[in-house]
Amino acid sequence: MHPAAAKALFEEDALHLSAALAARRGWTLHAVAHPLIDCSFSAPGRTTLRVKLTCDDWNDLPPSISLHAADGAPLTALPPNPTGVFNGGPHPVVNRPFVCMRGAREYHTHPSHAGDAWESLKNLTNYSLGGILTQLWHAWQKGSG
Amino acid sequence: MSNEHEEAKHHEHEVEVSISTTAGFYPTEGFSDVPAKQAVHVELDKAKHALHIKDTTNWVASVAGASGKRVIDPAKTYAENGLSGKVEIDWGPSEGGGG
Repeated sequence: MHPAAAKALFEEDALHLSAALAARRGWTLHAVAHPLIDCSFSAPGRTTLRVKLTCDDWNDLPPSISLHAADGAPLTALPPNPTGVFNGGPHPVVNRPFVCMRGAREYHTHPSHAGDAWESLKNLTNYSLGGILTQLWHAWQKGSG
Repeated sequence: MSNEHEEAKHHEHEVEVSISTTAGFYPTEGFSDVPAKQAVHVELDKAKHALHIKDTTNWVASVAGASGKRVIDPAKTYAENGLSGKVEIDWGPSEGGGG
């Protein structure tokens, strides 16, 4: 996709990732500026998880998602999570813990999921930027620690 | 019966609802007054239409409770879901499979 078109689509898709939504969900939106969404998930009794979605070439490519501590340091180990979405890896391409969920670039580039094409998902509501971020949040809420 | 009492009784039978999604809020600002005996999905359907959400397959509705997030059943009424007063519903896709 042309870079200007990718940026415009990102901005349209991220339009409602607002301070009001963040306040209701316990999110901290550190940055929502093309090509990055940098968001922390917090809840009482939980260790904050910060996720960074790098959305270059959106939406011809799914976002590359990295996992971080509250201060932005890359996670080297993951808190318990029963969903299987947060995978300790290391991922064969990026060589770190990763998000193993449809809609994450690391999922679609993992050899185990080579047949599950992003192309079939990219225009679905649940795989908009907000949809992917919400799915991640829901997965995180099912964990502990 | 005083007007004040009538009003209090009236509010016992209503809830104030606000729905948040990543496509926006419904209503855009504030809350909608809704009968407590109305099924939750009625307002969700209105939100879907107003916010131009194409597909809500696998979406879950939840509210914040004292012990964290609680998923509610859209087919049930607010009263049946144990909701009263101001109700802030968060609505969005459940997590996809991983691993």
